[in-house]
Parts: sequence; C-alpha cells; structure tokens
Amino acid sequence: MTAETSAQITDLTVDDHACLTFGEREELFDLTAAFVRDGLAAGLKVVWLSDAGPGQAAGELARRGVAVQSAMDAGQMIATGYQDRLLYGQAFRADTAVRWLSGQLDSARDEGFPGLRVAVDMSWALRPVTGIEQLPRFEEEIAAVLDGTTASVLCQYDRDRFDPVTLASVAGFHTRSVAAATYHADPVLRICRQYAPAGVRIAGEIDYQAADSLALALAEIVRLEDDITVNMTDLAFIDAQCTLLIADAVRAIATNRTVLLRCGPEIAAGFARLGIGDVRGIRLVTADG
Amino acid sequence: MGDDLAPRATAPGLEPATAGQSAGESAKPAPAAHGLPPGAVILEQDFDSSSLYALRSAVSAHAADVGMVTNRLYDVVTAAHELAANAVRHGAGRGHLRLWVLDGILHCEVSDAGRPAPGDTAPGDTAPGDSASGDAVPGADANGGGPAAWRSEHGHGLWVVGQIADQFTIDRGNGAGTIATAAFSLGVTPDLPARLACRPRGRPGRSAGTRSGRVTADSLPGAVGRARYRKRVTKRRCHGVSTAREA
Repeated sequence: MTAETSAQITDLTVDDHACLTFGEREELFDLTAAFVRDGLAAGLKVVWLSDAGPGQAAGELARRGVAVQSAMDAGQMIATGYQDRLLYGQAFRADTAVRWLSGQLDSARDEGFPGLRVAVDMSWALRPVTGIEQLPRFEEEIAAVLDGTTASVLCQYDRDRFDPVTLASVAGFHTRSVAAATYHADPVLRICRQYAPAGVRIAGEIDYQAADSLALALAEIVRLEDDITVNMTDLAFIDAQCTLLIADAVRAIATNRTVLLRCGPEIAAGFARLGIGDVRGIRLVTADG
Repeated sequence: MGDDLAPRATAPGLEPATAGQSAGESAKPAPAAHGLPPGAVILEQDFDSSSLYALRSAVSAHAADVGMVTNRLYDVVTAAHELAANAVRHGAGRGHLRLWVLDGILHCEVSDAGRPAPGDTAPGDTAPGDSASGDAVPGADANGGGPAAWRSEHGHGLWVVGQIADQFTIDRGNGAGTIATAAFSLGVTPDLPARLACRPRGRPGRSAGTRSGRVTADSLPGAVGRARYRKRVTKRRCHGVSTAREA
C-alpha cells in the first residue's frame, strides 16, 4: 500500500502502519502523547520504544495531560528503550526486530487486550549501527505482521535528520503518513496544531507577517475543540499584533471554555498588559526558560 | 535588499560608519546632528519588511553587549520591532534604526522618510495605510504624500512601546518622515506583574528588583527643537500596570 496524504494522529485506526514525521522533539512528544492517550482510552495495550526511559516517558506524557503511571503499573502501557528489542548491541536485524513485534502482539492478545498500539521513535537508525540497510525490509515486514490484526504501529521519523532518500524508501510500506497540521513553517517560525492537550503550538519568532496563519490556526482549534491550550513555550518573540490577536481570540471563548496560555515570562507580561490574566476561564502559565 | 540593509557600525564601542548612506536616507539626521560623543552610537541598521528578524537579533545582541539587563532586553527588542514595523507598514516601507548609549541610557531611534506619494508602493510589504494592525490612521495623509500620523491605540505597537519604555517620543518632521525614540535605563530591572510570580530568565532564584532612575528629555538628543509635532508618552507604573497620557 502507498501512503495517503498526511492524516491527523487522531485519525489512526487499529490496523494502521503509519509513518509519522516530526520536526522537533516537542512535536514528537505531543503526537506520541495523543497516540498513547487514544490507545489507552480504547483499552488497548500501548508500547512506546524510544530513548526516553520509563520515568522520562511518563513525565513527558503527564506534562501533556496523559496520566500513564497507573497504566504502566497495570501493564497496559510499556515505555522502554530499543536495546534487546530492535537493537542488539550496535547491530540491527530486521527479522529479530519483527520477531519482537510479533511477540508483543501475542502478549497483548494473551493478556486480554483487544488490540495493541506501538510507537517507535526511529532515531536509533541515525546511529552508527550495522544492518541499517535492512530498515526498508523491517518496515515491509511490519506491514505483513499487522495484516489482519487489531494492532497499529507508528514509526516516528525526524524529517530534518533523516535524508529524503531513506524517508522515500520506507514511505511506501506505510498505510498512512501522519504529521501535525501545520499552518506556517519556515526557519524562523512554526505554527502547528497541538494534540495533547489540544491547542496550537507556536515556536520561534512571530510578527504581523504571519498573522493570517496564526488567525487560521486559532480559528480552527476554536472550532474543533472545547478547551484549548496555546503553547508558546518555545516562542522567543511575539509582536503586539499577534499578542492582541491571541488575546482577542481566547477572550471571546473564555466565557464558557477553559483556555491555557503557556509562555515565557516576557511574553506573559505582554498578555498581562492586556488584562488577559484577569479574565475568568483563561490561565496564563509561565515557563521560565 | 542585501547590502544596503546591512548594519553600518555594529561593533559596540566602535565609531559609527557614515559612508554608504544613500540619497534616499537624507531625512535621517546624522549622528553629529545629535551632538553624540564618539562611540555613543552602537548600532546603525537599515530595515524593511524582510529584515525585521535580523533587526531584532542585532538590537538584542548590541543591547546586551552594553549591559542591558536580561529581562529588559525583551522590552528593548519589542520597542525596536514595533517602531520599525510601524515605519514599514505605515511609513516609507523601510527605515533606519540607531541605538546609542548616553549617561547610562540606551536610546533606540527609528526613522523613516515618510509615506510614499500616492501610487507608490512600499517595497516588499503591504501598502502603507493598510491599517490591519491599527497603528496608523487610514487616510491620515489625505493632503498627499506627507507622513502618516502614528497613532497609539490600546494593545497596538505604539501603545506597547509607551508601556515598556522609560521614555518614548515621536517627532514628525516637516514632511520629512517620522523619528520615534524609545529610551531604557541600563542596568536595572523593572517590576514584573506580581501575579505572574516568575523569575527573570537566566537568573534562577533571584527575584525581580525595582527599577530606579528616569530618563529626562535632555537625554534625548534631537527630540527638542526639531519637531513640528511632538508627542510624549509618560508612564506611571503601578504593580506592573502602566497608564499613559499624551502631552
């Protein structure tokens, strides 16, 4: 099967083998949190393979409103590393990795879960490991393993670190291509949808020249979600027009919804100057550096 | 854009370069007209809509280099950006920024040559008079070609500059464009809104201090005597909330 045009992380179904591309760690954690959240809510077993240990993974998910500790304690959620699963020392072997995945499917079924979700941060493939040429074969065999099951796999590729040839070589083995809905992306500014918690994420520097993109992002999230977060923790500069645009948008909906504005203290001061911190329903939370 | 938008004298402490100014920049007063001592000017840079990011970066670097405290750097950058953006959007479409330090005060001056004549389009940006952000008065140059009035409205760029700068003046020359100057005391920290209860960036565990010292009109060279129209915004701060009045 070939990948369709980009789907939303929240659109994935039980038998998907999806290729997620991300640009920043923050985006990766956000999309993973949504994948984990929806899987746990559906009663599925969830496995997340990444560099993050169980504690860090739980912390990143908790920071995004996804409480996983109880699920981890109950065996419904596993967050673990690649070693002895995909990698053995500095070696990768596609057949061994596929065998591990098949074992997870069997375990989930034996434990009584109706299905399985596996998220795999593929950054291990950027390391100097042997057998990396087997990566396309691994992706192809995943598709075969998932056929007819109630499992889904989300392969997570850093679009800036993986070369286009590698991405193209594995794309065809995925049923879907997943990425955050993006409203603006250039070297200075990125505006994209945030999925856990729902909202908009703005990173970099924004001024009036990107006001139309910002307005569209805010309009869509206001239409799609009840409570929203505007995540500006990686925003280094915002001008008066965009501050006012966000303030007006959230003030308009705060009468019957909850809005969380997360940003650094300098940007928070700009919102406070407009009286936003005093509006019922709006929480202005500063993240210091 | 390219070369003529490059900083002229970017190294703090160096003499400002005066070569390379084009004829179109004649509306800008030369440093000597300000009576600034040698070495006072720390940055001169042309800008247009495509170079605002670079302008912010340069202002931040040079303001930090002369000792602007960390949590006021953002205010300086904001002021520089808002004044420059106003020149781009409601003035000539491009302008010139100058930073200088005098008597412990950092001055950020933005000048432009005024709005182009009807039919001309500001380079690389929306047409002047596009008041989407509201800082300019639409049709304010109904007499044709003169500098548009820069108006301060709640929440908009000039209003913000009036809130964060220690002193802020706008001078409109006789059809020769607008010169806006924001001044900031060096080496002191402002009160942040107590409600935010946040620590200054990069200084964990230290609380914000109290700003002291005021900027006087005398410390704003060129602000007196040249202006046909002068607006001074004076601020009173109370628990981080500023009020503004026009004089």
